[in-house]
Amino acid sequence: MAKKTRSVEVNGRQIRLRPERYSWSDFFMALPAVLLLVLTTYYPIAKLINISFTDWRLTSRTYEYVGLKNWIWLFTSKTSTKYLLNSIKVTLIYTFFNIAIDLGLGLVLAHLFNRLTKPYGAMRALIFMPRYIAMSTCGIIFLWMFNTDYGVINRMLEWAGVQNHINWLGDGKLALTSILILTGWHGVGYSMMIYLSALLGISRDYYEASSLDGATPLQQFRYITLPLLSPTSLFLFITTFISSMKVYQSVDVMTGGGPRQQTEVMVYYIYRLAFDDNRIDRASVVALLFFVVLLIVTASTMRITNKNVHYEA
Amino acid sequence: MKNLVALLLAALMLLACTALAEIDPSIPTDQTTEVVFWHSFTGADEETLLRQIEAFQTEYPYIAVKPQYIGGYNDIHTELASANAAGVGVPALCVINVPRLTSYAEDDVVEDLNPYIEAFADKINFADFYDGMTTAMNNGGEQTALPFGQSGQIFYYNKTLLGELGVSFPEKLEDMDAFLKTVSEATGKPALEIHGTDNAYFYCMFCNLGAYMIDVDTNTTGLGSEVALDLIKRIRSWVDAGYVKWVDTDVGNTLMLDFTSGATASVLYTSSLYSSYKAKAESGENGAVFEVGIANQPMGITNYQFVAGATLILPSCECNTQAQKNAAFLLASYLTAPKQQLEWATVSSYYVTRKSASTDPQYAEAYQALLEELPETAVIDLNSYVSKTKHPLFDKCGDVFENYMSEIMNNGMDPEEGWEMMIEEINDTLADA
Amino acid sequence: MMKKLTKHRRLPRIGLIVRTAAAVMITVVMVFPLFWMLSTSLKTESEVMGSTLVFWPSVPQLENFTYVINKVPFFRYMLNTAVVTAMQMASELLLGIMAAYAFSKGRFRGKHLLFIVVLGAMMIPLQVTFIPLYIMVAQVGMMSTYWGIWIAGAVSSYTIFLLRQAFMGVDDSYIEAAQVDGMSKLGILFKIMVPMCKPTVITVALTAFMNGWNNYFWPKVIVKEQNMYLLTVGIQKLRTSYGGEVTNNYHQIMAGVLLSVIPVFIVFAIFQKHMLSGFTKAAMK
Repeated sequence: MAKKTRSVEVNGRQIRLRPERYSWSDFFMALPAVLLLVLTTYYPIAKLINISFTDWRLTSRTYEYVGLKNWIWLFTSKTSTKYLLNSIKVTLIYTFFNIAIDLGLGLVLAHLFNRLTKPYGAMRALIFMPRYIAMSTCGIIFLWMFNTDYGVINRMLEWAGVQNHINWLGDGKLALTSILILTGWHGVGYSMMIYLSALLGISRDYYEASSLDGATPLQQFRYITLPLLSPTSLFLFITTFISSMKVYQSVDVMTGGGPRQQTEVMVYYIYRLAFDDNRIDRASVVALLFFVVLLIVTASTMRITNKNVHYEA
Repeated sequence: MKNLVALLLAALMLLACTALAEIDPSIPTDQTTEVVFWHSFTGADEETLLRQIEAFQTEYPYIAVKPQYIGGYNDIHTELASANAAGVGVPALCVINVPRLTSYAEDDVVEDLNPYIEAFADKINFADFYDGMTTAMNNGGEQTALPFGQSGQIFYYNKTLLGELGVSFPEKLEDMDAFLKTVSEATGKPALEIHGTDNAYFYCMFCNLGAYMIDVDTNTTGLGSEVALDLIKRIRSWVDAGYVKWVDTDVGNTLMLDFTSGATASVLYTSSLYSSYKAKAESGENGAVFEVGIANQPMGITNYQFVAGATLILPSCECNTQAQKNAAFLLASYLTAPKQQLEWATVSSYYVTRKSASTDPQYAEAYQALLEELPETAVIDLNSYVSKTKHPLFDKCGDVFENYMSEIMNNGMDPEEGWEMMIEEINDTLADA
Repeated sequence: MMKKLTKHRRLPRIGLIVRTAAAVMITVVMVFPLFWMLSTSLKTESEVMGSTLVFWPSVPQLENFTYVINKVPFFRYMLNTAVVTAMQMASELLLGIMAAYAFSKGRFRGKHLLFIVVLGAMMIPLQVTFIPLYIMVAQVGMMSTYWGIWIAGAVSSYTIFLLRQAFMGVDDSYIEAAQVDGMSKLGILFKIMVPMCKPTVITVALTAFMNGWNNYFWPKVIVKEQNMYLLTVGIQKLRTSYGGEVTNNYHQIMAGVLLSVIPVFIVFAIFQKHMLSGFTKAAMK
């Protein structure tokens, strides 16, 4: 590909372009961004690898190298495996449902709000609005709304006849749902907007032609819209997947990982190891494992889904 | 409690034997020494603090104090730990809670205050602190912190309501059942609400029955005893009967609202909120006008009360000069002096940490004023305060304890099953050091 | 134009009514928390904390807003936030556009490897790596400075990824034609690629803006000077703490939140049109 000779036609004459070569200027265009990323993310990772071989407690000022001790701890200690497996489970459940909400609901809303009239434009803007507000502050709003006895949600449910107050954040079966409600509320407007822009990008000809062939709207959705949206879906899937796996802020404000670790996602577990236990050595080991797992899962997801993506001509 | 005595003795012996490290206690008067001070106080507390700091600076014009509100203890810990790791931006004086002190002392991130106490003997009058408080902040002979903004885990009760019902708040744990039943059946509401996300509040009841979080000798938890299981079952039966509400979400706001609106007859929370609760209840701000009473932890086989609340530490980071540390200690001794402590107690109902506040005639007037304002806060016998087991994993074990208590009380987990799981998890945690 | 867009779905009137009803209901549900924030910010403490539910305060309390402004240097926080957000947007966009071009249309050794490096960075949460980064920033003396806050969000692999996707969609013939015309690489980039991918660029810019404005975790740890706080951190400092336990004085916090999002609303009100025009352009192609 890189060595192919190309030509273009200008004013009826064939002009041969220079054979394509590696270009230093292209390299230098990518360099500043890459260097900054290396500095802000890979250098810390390298440091974490170093720390993972020490016994550094965060509050302590000295440390020693202890070889593979922390890695052995990770895979053999009863507490570590228990919390680790739990946090992986919670993270995966959260990720699954968060993707379902963002993509599924986002697509439904995109269809519902796909009318270019002023009132609809205003409603779209309103639905997008939560995304303007920091998660750290949204969390406080929801914390208050979810308050068991004084929160507006339970009080409104009371009017609707639900007399027993629901323990939204204290009940292990519900706490993750409450977090999903918060993050879904916060993020769905964004995926709706992305889907909407993709929907508007689909040429009307497809629909008109298929209408003439007698296709129902549902068939049109299944055989035209969905395939043509697949690059957008893939993009949203990957980005939502990664951000869901990294979820931290909403958990921190709403439940602090509780009740009894039932909302303790991986990043929160790592953070707890580093700061509640002061064991940054152990936190590093879990962090590295997390990074590797996420890298592998994301790479393979991209590979699999790429095959099933239909790019518009 | 043998352990505690042994530990105390050991500590005293160490204290006697350790040759004190010398410090140079000088603070230059010809230039400004800056003291960055991280604290956790807001509202009226912060105003008092800032006022006192202002007065301190007038007295020592060559010391410039920079007070910074950081957040709760958890926020302070996180920021302190990261600043320590970087070796930059560590405050010269810092507020932190008691349970963190043990690991700070072990990790050597705080100054041993003994040399300072020696060098500034005329400023601090260390012996004047209540012993229970200073011992709680002593780790293996090292004085890790000074008591400041101390509080207890006490019961607030609706005095008016209890008077109408003709009952008094129980002084003994064994009388609790009858009390809860009477009150709850008369009002149709919970008789007691317990702060469920910090073991400091409910752990004391377990201790007073002889069940301790950590048995240092065997490195296992003392909560594994039948006594602990029985108490768990007992509390659960109270919860099931509707006598007790176990609050584990948005706790601070919920307890305050429930109590001041009359939704519960009593709550178990920090003594430092007394003035605020009292003001709200007496003004009827949330719909119920009543008088507030307070009670200590009820007696079991012992009647321990635990020290909790804020302490002042001097981080040992080399990024602060000796002069800055000296100045910080000077500020700490100023803030913990009887006069300031009395003012502090009057405004914010923290305990007075000084014995002389109630005995020395020069404070008699201020003390009398305090008694009128907050009679019961001041008369709690601070000599009955003891310290909890000092163990770096205490907090972590406490987290497990809280988690399972919530599950058992609010989420229907079987008490015996939950208790067994809890014991296993705490023991694993202890073994995993 | 509007007719053309909706022509293919000739919804019967009743359908439109049902649809609009559903849309309005969903909007109401979505907006409710924001309404609740507004109404809470106008209440007195007893109206917020009272035992009866107050939907709208009898007398709107503007004191909550004055309290916030007097309690903390609110406008200073706003300035800090604006400066850092502008810095991050500038570097994120400029470096992002350049890198995205290199990764989509450029040819250089190690292109795929470097792109994996970029993508990999997306998978590393700051909550995990911030300690080494913090130590580094602190040791070069950038703690509590704009640059210190900026650095953690200086580039975004998300931006690069998104822009690269868009740039790949631009046909090579445009670039080749420009090359024939003797246009420089930067010229091609900013005169052809960016205008052709305007909707994506605007989306990315708005995302960068939101992320910058709502940045919380890193500014919280790296800023120790009170007057260098960003809005998000300043708002958390409005919360009261009793006995070292943070509780919520909701009415005042909500007033702070509301004040802090006003600039965002303004920016979006301006850019909303651009966003929609970007959508429409895409629709007409």
